[in-house]
Amino acid sequence: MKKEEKKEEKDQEEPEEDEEKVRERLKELGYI
Amino acid sequence: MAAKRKKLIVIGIDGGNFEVINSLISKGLMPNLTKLKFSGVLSSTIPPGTAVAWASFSTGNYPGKTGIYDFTLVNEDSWKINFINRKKLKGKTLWEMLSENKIKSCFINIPLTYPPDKINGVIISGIDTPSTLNNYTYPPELKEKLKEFDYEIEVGGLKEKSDMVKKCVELVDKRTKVANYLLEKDFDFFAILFRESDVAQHFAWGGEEVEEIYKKIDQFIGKVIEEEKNSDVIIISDHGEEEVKKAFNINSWLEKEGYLKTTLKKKSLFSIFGINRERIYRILNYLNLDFLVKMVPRSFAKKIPTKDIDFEEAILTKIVDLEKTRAIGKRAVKTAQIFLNTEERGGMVKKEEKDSLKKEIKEKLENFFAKNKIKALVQTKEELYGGAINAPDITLYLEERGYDILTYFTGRDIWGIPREEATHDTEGIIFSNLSLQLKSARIVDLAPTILRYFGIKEKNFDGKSLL
Repeated sequence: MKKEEKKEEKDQEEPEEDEEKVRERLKELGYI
Repeated sequence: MAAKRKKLIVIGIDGGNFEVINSLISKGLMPNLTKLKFSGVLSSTIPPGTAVAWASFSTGNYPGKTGIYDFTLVNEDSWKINFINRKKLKGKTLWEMLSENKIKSCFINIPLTYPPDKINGVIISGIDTPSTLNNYTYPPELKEKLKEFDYEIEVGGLKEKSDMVKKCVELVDKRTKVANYLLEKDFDFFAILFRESDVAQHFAWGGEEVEEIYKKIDQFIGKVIEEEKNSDVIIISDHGEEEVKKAFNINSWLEKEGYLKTTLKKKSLFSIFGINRERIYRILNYLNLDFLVKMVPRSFAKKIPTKDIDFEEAILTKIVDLEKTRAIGKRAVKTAQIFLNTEERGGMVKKEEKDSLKKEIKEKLENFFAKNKIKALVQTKEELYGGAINAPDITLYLEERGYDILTYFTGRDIWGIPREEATHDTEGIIFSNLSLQLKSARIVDLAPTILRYFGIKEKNFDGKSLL
């Protein structure tokens, strides 16, 4: 993967606590 | 009072399907939906997942171009898994295209709208929003107004499925109130999604709450038809839904065929003493100490085994032996997504072996389902998604009604009981007062249709206008 793509992916990452909230919701709904 | 501006209004009934709708129509419980003359099947995506399908609604393209294959995204060059939101959605969106063409629009609860883009209009983000504490509206000040409606994004925080289903009915009312408030504003295009029909169907297929939710949505449709006389209406679902009785456990099959190895025999101290997360939670819950669960750091929680672990946990907790595994299955609705343990992901499948391995697994699965007389569609990443980055290497979709997928890693049988009462299928619904060409309508056709409605030239979509 190109350097720019890696940087773009990094920029797209959400704060861990936000990811955790989404994870919890999807788990509750049985989606993951 | 000045006449309301002519609008195009799209109402999404998540998981809306003809089995439930026809039954309610025959009982006279959806009188307003039947006022819309034109109707048909709206084909969804594969997998027919909520996020996957709404990504295709919003862009007019199939997943190979939207980059959305499920609620989570498995990276091409590692086993890192990310949750999807607006930032992961590829291609120009409907709200961007409308905004660029000076069409004022309102999007309520559509998935993959968090964080909300700045548009000519309003966005209230959907299921990918972490919480109402985040900035989930555009314009940002709308968030304050929504507090007056006690607006909620999704059901959550309830222990019992029956409570979640009851809460769904309440949420339809809250969302309707917000919709009624915003319908008074001067929009050209208005889209709202009622997610509650899908959630209730998963947990209580055929239950009275499901009926109640459809009836409430029908009342909202009736109000829209009555009060927005100038406007045109399209009712859609992102996918269908069906009752499921049996499930195919892809990881048991992969293990039996020698593609997947687990480390389950190497017992940890936790498993020797029979400790798993479900048991800990039940004890804490009994002692009214369940709030402690949230205080446990995730890094520690990952070390405690769980009875039915998911894809991410199986990799992180090393239940999958990545040194001896060539393929792993991940569950999407009625769909198994198989990922190869490639060199890029640090695994044993060499670059030059990938194509032959995909072909081999695909053929074995096809033979397995043919032998069992079960309709199944097996496609490689290249066949289904044009070889797009981060797409699953092989996708198995169970076309046979009544069957779902399991991905347990706990050495279970190949056939098991589904996790839920119902799951998604590809047969969604579409109703409209507009004379649309609905003979073989697809969810990707909606964006080009909406653009053409407003006289915007549509181009380079997988979908085509239904007008």
